[in-house]
Amino acid sequence: MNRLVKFFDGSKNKMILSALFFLVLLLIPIVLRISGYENESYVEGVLILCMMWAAMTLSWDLLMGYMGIWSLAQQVFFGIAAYTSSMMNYYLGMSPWLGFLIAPIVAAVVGGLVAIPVLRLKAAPYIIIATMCLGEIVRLVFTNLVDFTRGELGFWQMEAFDDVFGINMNGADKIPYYYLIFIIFSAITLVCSLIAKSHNGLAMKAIRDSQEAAESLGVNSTEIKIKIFIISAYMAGFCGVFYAHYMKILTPTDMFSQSMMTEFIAMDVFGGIATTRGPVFGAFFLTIIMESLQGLDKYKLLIYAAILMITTLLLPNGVMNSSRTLKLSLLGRLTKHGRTESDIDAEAGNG
Amino acid sequence: MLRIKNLNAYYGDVQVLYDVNVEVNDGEIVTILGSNGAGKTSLMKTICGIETRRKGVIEFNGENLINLPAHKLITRGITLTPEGRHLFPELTVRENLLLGAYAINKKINDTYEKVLEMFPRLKERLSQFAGTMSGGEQQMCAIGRALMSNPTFLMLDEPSLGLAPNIVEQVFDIIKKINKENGITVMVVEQNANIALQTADRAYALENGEIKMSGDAKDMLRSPDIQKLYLGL
Amino acid sequence: MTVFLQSLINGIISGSYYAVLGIGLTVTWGVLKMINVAHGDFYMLGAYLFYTFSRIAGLPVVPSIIMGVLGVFLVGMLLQRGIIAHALGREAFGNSPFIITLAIGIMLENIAQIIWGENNRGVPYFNETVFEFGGLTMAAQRLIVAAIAFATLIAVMILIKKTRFGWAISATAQDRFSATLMGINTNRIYMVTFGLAVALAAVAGCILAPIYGINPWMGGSVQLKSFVVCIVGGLGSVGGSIVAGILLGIVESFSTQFFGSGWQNVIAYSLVLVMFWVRPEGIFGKKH
Repeated sequence: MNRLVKFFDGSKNKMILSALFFLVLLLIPIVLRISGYENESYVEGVLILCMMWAAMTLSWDLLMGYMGIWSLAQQVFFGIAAYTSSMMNYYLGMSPWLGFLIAPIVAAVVGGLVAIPVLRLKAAPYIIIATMCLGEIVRLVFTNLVDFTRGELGFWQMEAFDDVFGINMNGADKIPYYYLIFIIFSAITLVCSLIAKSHNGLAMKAIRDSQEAAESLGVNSTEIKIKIFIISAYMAGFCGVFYAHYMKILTPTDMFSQSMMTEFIAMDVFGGIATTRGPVFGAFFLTIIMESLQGLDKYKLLIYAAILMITTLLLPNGVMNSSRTLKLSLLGRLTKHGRTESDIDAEAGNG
Repeated sequence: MLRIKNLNAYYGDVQVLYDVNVEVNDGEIVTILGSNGAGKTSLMKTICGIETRRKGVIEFNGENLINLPAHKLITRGITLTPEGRHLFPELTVRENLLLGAYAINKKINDTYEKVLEMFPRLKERLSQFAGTMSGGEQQMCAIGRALMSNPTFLMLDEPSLGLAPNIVEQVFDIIKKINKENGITVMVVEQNANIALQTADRAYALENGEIKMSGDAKDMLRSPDIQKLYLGL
Repeated sequence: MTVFLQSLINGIISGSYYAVLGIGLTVTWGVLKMINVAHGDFYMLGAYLFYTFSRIAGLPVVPSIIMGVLGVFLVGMLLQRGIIAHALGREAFGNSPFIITLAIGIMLENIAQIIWGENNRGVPYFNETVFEFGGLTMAAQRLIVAAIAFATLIAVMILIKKTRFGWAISATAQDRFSATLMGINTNRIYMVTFGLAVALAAVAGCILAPIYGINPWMGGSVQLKSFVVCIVGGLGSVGGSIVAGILLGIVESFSTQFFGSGWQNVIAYSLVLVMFWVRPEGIFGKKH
């Protein structure tokens, strides 16, 4: 118990909140089913998306948040796993469950490969450009290899997961899928927070703040970076397999273009990087907002971009990390040496 | 000419200057002594309005500069040659010098000739990239660049930094010459207290962001405290 | 031989506007120390403004181009002063400008979609003539593109190397602190430089609109191509971008010839990875 409390930075409140959050998620479908709520499957569908994007954002946050590696290729790991599983199913008739066994490993291998060029680059802009190009190359390769990937056509009508334990997985009832992604999401959350709390987590932050300093203290940055790339891609792979057999439609544009990546960035930055609750909050909040703006389709992305912009300008540490930032800036304004515009500009001159 | 009253400065939330009072009279050379991290460079940057947040009074010829944006300073006749010289490494010496007069809309040919006369070494290297010159030459170029705007008040931050002893002497000779012949008031921040005190008329000692001592440079040179702290005697 | 020459000429022509696009990005990087992932969307905006002035308002071609480029210049300056300036040089891993431009890009795309719709818009060729010469064919439009692109490149070089304002830009890029001491209002330099950089993208957008058509997503591949040019040329190097732009045009033209049009971008983007591997500072960049 003490160790558990310690895991939550010694805060019992945090522990209780986290437990409550997962408990509520666990109970929602049951409550909905019992109460006979008519939009049950819609609510479940939204929450499935929330959990899937939260898991993806968490996996990316290991790279960007904890290590400061601005890799914009997370959608590649997701897409590769989705494609692998679909193609195993389509060409070889293998069960989608086997996808969970094999596809994440393929994604992890790709993650290790992506890590290689990124390792040589230190400045964030270089990594951003390199990984953007990588993503685009993958998209084009999947578009062009028509015989193998069916090109722009993509795959659809993949088989659903086979029934297990007598549970019907045909998708008419969303509950089995809900619990499937719940398990994936919980597991990824747990793994991410375990990594963050571990010895390696500390080393990761050290590398982010100063690679030279970290290395001088005996941190093997290359090894940690490769490891995290592989773990991150492996986790994204699970989401990809789930996506393939839940959504049942894959095209190279949907899977590999930058727009999905943009969502992960928005969710992570909005919620607050380098935490567990940040990406989860960001993913849930933005997904729910987007779903509820369905009527305003035209302005949806505009609102999305505005949220992203406003958070970056006003709450650069994200919503979940902001109580301290807000306090500080308020304090600064209230005390006599409040900063003025020209001060801020002058400070900018330093960088 | 320059009167600094109760100047406080902050980097973010960290205070670096505490109620600093400094006065520089017309035609003087004033030096500010201080060990590493005493706040000398912070003082210079604060006077210019760069990087730090400041409050207090910086009065120059009767005008309070505390709210003046940094880039306007040069139009009041104040220039700074910063610590580490900060030349534009990929511009030529000539372009560096001309940029010194960027804010001046008047004809600058005379000033340009005068500066080149003062630094004959620069004349030989006009089309060379500033970043490829030796430390001494770079310091000359930095001073020359500062003079291009015809300042009445010149601030120098650690002009001796990284220079060989004989070059340091040359630099301080030039500072004296600028002061005597061109009538430019000089404030020089220096770690090399010996040469600074020999050059200056008056001196201040800055420690931990506070002025600890001030007085006539010749007296300071003889003061046992100064000798112990800065002259290593 | 004719095929070779034709490919070479096509390559140089498309390379010329890659260079124009790349310079904009590289200058933004060199001076403001940020990457602009909305560069391609300013290219798109330029094309739409040109379309609006020439097709809807009915102005002649040249004034329409000028208005379009000017419009993007103003929008760029406004966005820099109003939004981007507040995100520059802050902690938060120094990547706030990246996220801000990401958001600006999404906004521009969606605003364009709301105003002009999703359908492809077209602008007629400035000149319909097609020249034939010893088996080589060349549309006048493409020659006009190349001519305007090269004129723009020369103008930019003159601005940066020969004018007082250009020195101020170089000075700000090399040492902002020192530039401030020289009396340069670096905030204004930032604003104008950003405006100029995106205006360059708009020039490309206007002159290419007749060839490629206009839609809200046309900036996507252009964005990445501009990055390729910057990286290959060396981030921050104007001369490098010109050479790299033309090089990219030629490589693309030949790879289309040999591998088919589906693969030309794969090869272009791979250039970046190869470059990062072999010489991360680019052909003309400096080692740091």
